[in-house]
Amino acid sequence: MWNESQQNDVFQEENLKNLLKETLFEKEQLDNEEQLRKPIKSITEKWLLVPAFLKLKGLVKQHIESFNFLIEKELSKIVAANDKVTCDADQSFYLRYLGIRVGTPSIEEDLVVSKITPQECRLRDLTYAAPIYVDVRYTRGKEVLIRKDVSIGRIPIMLRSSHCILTGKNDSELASLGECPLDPGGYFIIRGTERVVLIQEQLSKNRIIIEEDKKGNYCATVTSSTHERKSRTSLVYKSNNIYLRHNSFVDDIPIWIVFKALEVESDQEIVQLIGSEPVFVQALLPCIEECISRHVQTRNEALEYIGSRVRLYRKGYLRRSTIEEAQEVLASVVLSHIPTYQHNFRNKSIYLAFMVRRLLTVAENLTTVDDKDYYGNKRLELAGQLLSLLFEDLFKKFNADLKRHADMVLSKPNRAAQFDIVKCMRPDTISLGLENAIGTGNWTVKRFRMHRAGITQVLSRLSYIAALGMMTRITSQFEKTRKISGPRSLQGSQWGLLCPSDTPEGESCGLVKNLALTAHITTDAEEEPLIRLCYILGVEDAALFSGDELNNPLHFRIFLNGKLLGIHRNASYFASVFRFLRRRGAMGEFVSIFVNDLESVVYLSCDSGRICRPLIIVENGHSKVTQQHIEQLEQNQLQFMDLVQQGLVEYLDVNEENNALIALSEENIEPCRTTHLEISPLAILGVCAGVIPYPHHNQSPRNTYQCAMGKQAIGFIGCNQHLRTDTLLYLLTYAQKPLVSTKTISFIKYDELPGGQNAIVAVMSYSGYDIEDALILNRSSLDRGYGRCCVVRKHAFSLRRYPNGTCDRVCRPPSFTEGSERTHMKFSCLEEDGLPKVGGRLSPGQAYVYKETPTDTMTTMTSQQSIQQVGYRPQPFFYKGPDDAIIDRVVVTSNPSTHSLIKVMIRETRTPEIGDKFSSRHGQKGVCGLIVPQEDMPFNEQGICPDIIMNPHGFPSRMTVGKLLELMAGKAGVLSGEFRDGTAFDGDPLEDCASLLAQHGFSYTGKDILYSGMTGEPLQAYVFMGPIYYQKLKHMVKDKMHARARGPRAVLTRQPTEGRSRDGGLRLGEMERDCLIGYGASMLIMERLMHSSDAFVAYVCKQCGLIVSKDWCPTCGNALQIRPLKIPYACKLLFQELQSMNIWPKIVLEEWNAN
Amino acid sequence: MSTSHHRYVHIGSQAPTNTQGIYASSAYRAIGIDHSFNLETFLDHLQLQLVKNTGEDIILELLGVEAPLINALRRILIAEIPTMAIECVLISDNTSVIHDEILAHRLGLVPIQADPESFQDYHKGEEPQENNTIVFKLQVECKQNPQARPGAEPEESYINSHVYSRDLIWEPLGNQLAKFGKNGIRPVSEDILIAKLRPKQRIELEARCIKGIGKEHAKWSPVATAYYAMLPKVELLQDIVDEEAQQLVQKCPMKVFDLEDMAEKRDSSLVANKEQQQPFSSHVVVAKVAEPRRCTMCRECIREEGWDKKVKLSKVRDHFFLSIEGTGAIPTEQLFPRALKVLRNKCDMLLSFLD
Repeated sequence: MWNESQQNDVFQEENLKNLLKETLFEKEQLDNEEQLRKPIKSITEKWLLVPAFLKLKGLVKQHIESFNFLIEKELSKIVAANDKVTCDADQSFYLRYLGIRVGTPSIEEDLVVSKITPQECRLRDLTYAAPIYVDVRYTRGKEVLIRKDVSIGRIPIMLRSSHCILTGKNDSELASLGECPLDPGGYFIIRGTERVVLIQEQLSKNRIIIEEDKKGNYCATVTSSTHERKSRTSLVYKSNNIYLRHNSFVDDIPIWIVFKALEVESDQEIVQLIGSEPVFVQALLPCIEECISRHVQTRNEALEYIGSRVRLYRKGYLRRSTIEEAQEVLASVVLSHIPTYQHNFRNKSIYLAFMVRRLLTVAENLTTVDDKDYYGNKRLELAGQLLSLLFEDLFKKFNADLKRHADMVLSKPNRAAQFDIVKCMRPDTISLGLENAIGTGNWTVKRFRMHRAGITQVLSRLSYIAALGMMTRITSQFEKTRKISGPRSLQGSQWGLLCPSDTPEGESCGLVKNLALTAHITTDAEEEPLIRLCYILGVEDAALFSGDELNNPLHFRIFLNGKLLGIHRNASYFASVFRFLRRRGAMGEFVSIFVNDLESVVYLSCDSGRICRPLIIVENGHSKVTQQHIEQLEQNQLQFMDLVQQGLVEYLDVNEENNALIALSEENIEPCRTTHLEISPLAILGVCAGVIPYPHHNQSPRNTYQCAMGKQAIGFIGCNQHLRTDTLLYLLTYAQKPLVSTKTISFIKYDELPGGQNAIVAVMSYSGYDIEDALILNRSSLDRGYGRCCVVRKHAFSLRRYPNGTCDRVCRPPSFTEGSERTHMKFSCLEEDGLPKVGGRLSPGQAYVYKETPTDTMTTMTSQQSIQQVGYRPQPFFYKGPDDAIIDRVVVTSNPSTHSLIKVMIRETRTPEIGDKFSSRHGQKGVCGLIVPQEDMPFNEQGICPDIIMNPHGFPSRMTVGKLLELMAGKAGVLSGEFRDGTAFDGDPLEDCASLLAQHGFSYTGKDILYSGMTGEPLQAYVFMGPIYYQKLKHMVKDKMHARARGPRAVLTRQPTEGRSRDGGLRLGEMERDCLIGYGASMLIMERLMHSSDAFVAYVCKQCGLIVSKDWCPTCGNALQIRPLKIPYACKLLFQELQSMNIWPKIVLEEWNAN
Repeated sequence: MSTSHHRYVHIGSQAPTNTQGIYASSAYRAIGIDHSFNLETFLDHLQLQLVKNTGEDIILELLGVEAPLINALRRILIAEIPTMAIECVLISDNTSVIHDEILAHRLGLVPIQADPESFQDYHKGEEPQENNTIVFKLQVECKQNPQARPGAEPEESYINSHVYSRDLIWEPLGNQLAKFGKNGIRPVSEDILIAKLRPKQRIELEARCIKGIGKEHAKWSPVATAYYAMLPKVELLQDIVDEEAQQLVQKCPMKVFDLEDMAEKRDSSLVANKEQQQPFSSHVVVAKVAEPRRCTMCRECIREEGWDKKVKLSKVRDHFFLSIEGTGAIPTEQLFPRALKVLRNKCDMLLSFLD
């Protein structure tokens, strides 16, 4: 992010010195007592930084930045790492990649390449992908050729990323492309469906974590991760000994032996590396003894010991001596993220010693084990990183395929033409690999033996909030079934980064999280300039120090991304200079520095996947962002980026937050101690929780419920909602902006695509149809359009082309020529082309498409003539639905994989009915229990009649005080004619709203005198009444109601089918059956379980006891003793199945005596 | 009406009390009073006065009426006076963003000015005729405005960008034109927004109005709402003087109370409070109830602890203000008589059943 030239300037030592002088000068100022005594002026409306931040980054910045990083930087790195393809058969042959770039999204149809828009992809079921071009130099025969822009495949493009055609377009341009300007992007379109790569949470790589293993032993674990390899190295402290445990060893290796193998042979040196404090020396004694008892003294002996315990994966590989084997494993597999140059193990031994030291501090109870759930130990993987893993794997496979092909062709002695490898490049490997991975969510990376399912999900377009909520979702790799509370509970370090409210209920509770509003996820930054900077700032190479010097508590180890960089003698100075330079823009703003005084370590990180957030810098007890800056922001003279560049705001990641003292507001700033100021407390909530007004007055689970329910609310889903062809679309007809809004609502533009309506709610009891949270609705409100919604369903099918040249067709239905009244009715919705009339009314049972399939699809046709003579079988599609519907749109298109694609959108308009589900924004859902005519509704002295009556019993146990406040604020807003603010931890105070009510002649308490609509007399209580924003949820009775008297049965068992979609029966389950048994209602059981299910008259031969045909027993050879018997068909099936297994189930019959 | 206690609904600080009236003829039989309805006394007490008439809103003041009767009128006003409203829409072209059903629903809610008494009920399957149907045509196409300045608002850059109720053109059937005159039948308001269009979008439809009542659908309701309120009564239970009086005047947002100098008061001595015998010092200001009708029963005056002992709020049970907010489909002045007519018909029907 930072300016290259500026960066280079800073590294000139002179410049650096000048900069440092300035810091020292500022430090002097700090001592100035008077300055500290100055009263702290509070900045009003510092929350304006949040919209500024969101304007800069967008709501789904993390996805888009990550993907941009992949396209712009990571791809070339991957290609550079795998840039050569050679051939075993011909040594002179080679192919070298010179560069890579990604084009614009396009599609090739019939050899014509044309640009595509995302909306076109959605409509035509295409993949929104762009070709990847490489430049190659390769040999063809004796020549060396350079080819530019060779396509090696297509990569799906994330919407609104740098290569998407939508970036940089203004609203009207977007609208002309059929795109919603408010759509955040950040997802892919694969074969017409929108898919999101969910953010994956993982334990950070290359960091030492001290934990307890299953047996209760302490161990220090590092998961090393490099481009080639992922491996896990642990040091285990068991029975007072330390062992190295690694997958490539069959056995635990005593640590002393490992040190000896790493060229530290002297015991004294090892102890010094670890630390010569008496505690450690004492603890290390058993290790030395263990080593001696294994008869290992020298390096060779140690290598021999290790080499004989190496696990052999690769069979038939070149066999090396055990010593070489051990050296190889130690060099490249164990702690593989610490590089070894030419078998110089110094770095590794220092690192290992540090691990031992950390392990011992825990073992000796000097500190406690690391918290695995601490968010500083977590890294978030985004679309970019995940795709880069996949791409590298596919690219390697692509190259391997090329090599195999070259081997095959070049090994042939005589070839007809010269071998041109570019012509053999098959783009399908990469194209299909990427498309299938994103399309299914199955991630398979061979290098790391990684198989993960469910990485991507279909973007939920139920409501705008649902789509946004999905883009900020984080899933973790923990098993859902395990009953562990640690990873599920809210961790203190998640403050400001993850939403404390937004998590699902049930099995994945706490494992699926959501980002907070201002959280940002870092991408990779270059390490080299940082390393150079560190050395300039006085970091000294660790290899130059002896063990004792390393462990001097005044000498701080400096780690960069988990690798030991060196030692610094004055860590606090180093840290302050480092931070100063970062604020000056000398390095990326996301580089973090964390001084751990306890371990005497400074951790620097610039790796990707760290989660961080912006904070205002406080210096000398004063916020660096002043009122002036805020005003400039408001007037658009200043961008958020400028604040970062001017060093007024900086990003802190979780670890660095430990070095900061963050004040919540200006009043809390303590001079000298406070380092940062929170931008706004509302930013700790995420997108979904931000919609709730006054959430800080609610019981916390209620907010969590609302986060889940907001996603089911019907509303507007995008400005292009009528152009979309989703399988199921719920649209509210008259969605309204909430009267009580929040700041988050305006940031995320929820007020432009709302998901609910403001209803006048009276909190009172009415009629008894309002028990269990049921709501009473006003019929006139419904007549006037309250809660009215459209349900649009897609019915898609394709016309297949068969191998013999015939294909399906859509044609004129028979009713146009002949047919009875009934067929005419059936097809009356169709037009002459076999497609339905747009805008026409479709009744259940009518056809919406008349399709015909050829009768003969197998025999090969010889001539065009015979294809034309093929007969066709009608295959119309009938509409199945409870009610009439309307044909909304018909889309006829084609795409390369299908001959022709027809989508019929069928629309239904629904008014609320009894049983439809509604909810307020406070996790209070309820179904409609009764619809009451307006004249029966109570009314107040202003003639206002409630739209919804809600039972007051919903309040005491739920403790949703926020809802009461919303009502008060809403009522005040209506009276004063303005929208009210209910932002979290802020919002209009109750007193203001209440006194506003009083000013307008309403009761201060919000309670009105109501007259009963039925008796006409005043009600015997004052009723709390006012507007509350209500959401209509997608669960509607019409989609769920089901009953059956007779209907389809399963073929095998002849029992009624299961489920509403198959018109199934209503099951009398085990528990219901038990009740009937307990009651002794045997005839009822008989009726329910047999007569109403699968009664069957079987004929049983009394002689042999088998089920036989009506008039002949083949076993007995006669028909003398055959009796009819009514049994369940399933029972008959059982007997026959037993017979098929050579078991003779005998049915013993007895004559029934009536008396 | 028998006892003064029962004339008032007491508005307490926590809840209203004495809300229920006593209507049963046998209510006081035990003490020998016949409580049955007496038309003569009813007519004696009945008073009707027009308080306000803006053409759209009418407020009537009714005295000597009990809640059940006025509520019956209110319910009839809302649900049982027939009007004409668009029920059936034949859409021949609609390329706007508004779906056909929604468009039809919106049209249905447009109040149509037509006298329903000149029409008969339309029964399903009947042929639309001059005596049961009114037909409107809507034919709008949006076009680019060639004279528009670039970047102007849609209203300027396009012609017909907004479809209003004035675009509904009445198509008289049969003798309707002669019967109702040229402007006899039309949408009440001209500028109800029906739809928004953009160039090349057009709406062409035929809308048929039929007679119906609000019970069936709110669009046939001749009123936006009809409601009533009882006459507020504010009493001071004790003399409120000096600072307290100031406070009381301050408290009331509706300015019900006023201050009065005692000297003046002694002269006039019109307000007859029970505790007036107390002697006053010379500089006393006393609070008095100046405008009790302004009181909205917000209970601000009795919110503070103890004040409900000083101020008594109540409602007069047989004194109502009936507000009728008409939609204009029927002239608002006619609504109340029509409601009475419907009520009368109902009574007649009941009587005919009883016979």
